[in-house]
Amino acid sequence: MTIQIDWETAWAAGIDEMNRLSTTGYWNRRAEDYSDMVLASDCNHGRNILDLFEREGLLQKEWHVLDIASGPGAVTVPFAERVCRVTAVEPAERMAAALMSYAQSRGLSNIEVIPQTWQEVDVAAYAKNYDLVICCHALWQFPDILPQIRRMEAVSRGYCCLAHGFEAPSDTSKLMETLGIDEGGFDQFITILNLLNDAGVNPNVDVVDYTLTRSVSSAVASVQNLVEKYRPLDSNDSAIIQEYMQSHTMKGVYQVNGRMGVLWWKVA
Amino acid sequence: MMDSSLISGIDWVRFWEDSYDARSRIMRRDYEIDDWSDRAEDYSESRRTNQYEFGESVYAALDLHGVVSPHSRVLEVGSGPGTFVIPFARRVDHMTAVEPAEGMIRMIHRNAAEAEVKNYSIIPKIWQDVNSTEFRGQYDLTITSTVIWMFRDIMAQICRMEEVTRGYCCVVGGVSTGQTFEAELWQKIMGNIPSPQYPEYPLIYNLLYMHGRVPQVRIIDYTSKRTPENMFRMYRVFYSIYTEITPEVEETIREALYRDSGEGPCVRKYRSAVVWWDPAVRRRELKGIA
Repeated sequence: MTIQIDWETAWAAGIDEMNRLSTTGYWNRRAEDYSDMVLASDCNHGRNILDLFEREGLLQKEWHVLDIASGPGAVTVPFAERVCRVTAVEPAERMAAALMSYAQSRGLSNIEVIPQTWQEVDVAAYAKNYDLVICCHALWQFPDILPQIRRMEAVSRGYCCLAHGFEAPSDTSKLMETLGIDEGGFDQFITILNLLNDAGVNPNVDVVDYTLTRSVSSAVASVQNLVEKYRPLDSNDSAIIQEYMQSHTMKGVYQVNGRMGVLWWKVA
Repeated sequence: MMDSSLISGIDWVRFWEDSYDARSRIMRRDYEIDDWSDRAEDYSESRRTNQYEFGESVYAALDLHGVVSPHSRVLEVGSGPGTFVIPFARRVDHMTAVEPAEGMIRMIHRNAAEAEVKNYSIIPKIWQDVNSTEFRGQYDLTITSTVIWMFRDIMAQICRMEEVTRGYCCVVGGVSTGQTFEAELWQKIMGNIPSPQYPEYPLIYNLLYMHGRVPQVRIIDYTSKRTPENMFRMYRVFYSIYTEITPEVEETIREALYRDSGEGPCVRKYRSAVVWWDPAVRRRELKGIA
């Protein structure tokens, strides 16, 4: 018996609501708290992806890296510290501004931004232009995932890398449950892994632990913004979030541990 | 539109068992240990290609991630001619090979002598007959390749592999590369009977993941080079499982091999997934499962 699952259709159905709710406007609203988290965490998850490529003996100083949906630079900045050049694709103006501000504070001048969604980028203009193309924690943007991955391959002369949550931090899941927010149980990681294998792309798989650190105000703002994706925020929500954060904070810092699945492969 | 919740509800064990049962239904007899003795020569030649390229690639992947070290004691389930025994024993403390076929055991000894490898031992049994309790926690790595398709009770056997290790488990599974030779030869010999499936990867990843494991993967490419006579022997054993080996069947195999490689060696490119995990680590939301 051959397994017959249409992974592309399953993916499109699975990310439908998240894709609909997570607009560029939403990410502009998230720019401040998200940047706070990235900076306070010293880009921990991006740095761990960098470490992976270094450990594999692949990272080269001459590399030009493309970071799709860079946000404030969790992946862009650690790579820019080690390679020749990084191009960030980021349509949310405030996120892009946060990235450039962060880069400036780190003395980095080898970062440029393409202020578009990935779907808007003309891949023909960048054919085989990059040594590594990364999309981290942002695949939900693409209902037509396989064509978008093929476009990533088209601009890569080296590697492609997709990083995604492997499991949700259990603390965060409990808070969401208390607030009555159901983000859905769709397993993006295992779907994308099967989808790639079905398409003849056989990615390597690394499971990477990371730690996210942020101020209490940043943590509160992030959850408030998340709730407002689904419904208006009321005073009861605010109280629950404040109380939760206060009780889970150590010395004014809120910290969660997560795990991401990193899928990467050499482009033929 | 497919309901996305179906993804998390997929019964991968059932898929595995259905695949096993579908194979069994078209078999005229089961594999016997003597079949593997008959396969010893060709299997050994395949694994020795390019100075044990297959085993060396697997070792390199595991070494890079700290899964094996010079202090490791390694158990290989279904060693065949010494698939991992030879390349691993050169670098680890000790290799134990679980291998029931006498022909394969002779081949392990021959290959080990040639490689001047002495730090290995053999348990001459099929894995299912090994008392895992007796070996509980005695190894740093349990590893197997091209064997798990023989286990209908796949998770039970995986759990037994986990039981005997205090470190890691590793399954090396074949990945389809879209070669057409096998399918075309099957169609010539077996007609419209659907060809048996040996799904290893990514099915094994799905099984492990859904049962709470946290597996990592490296994809390796390697070459297998065998003489036409060894390839013929391999296909003769394989097709004897599914049909009577008549002179016509033998001629069909020989013709196909000749068309593929002429009188020279048959060179095949293969791809495998090296899947390893620490049995003590579980995905958090699946605590308590399996």
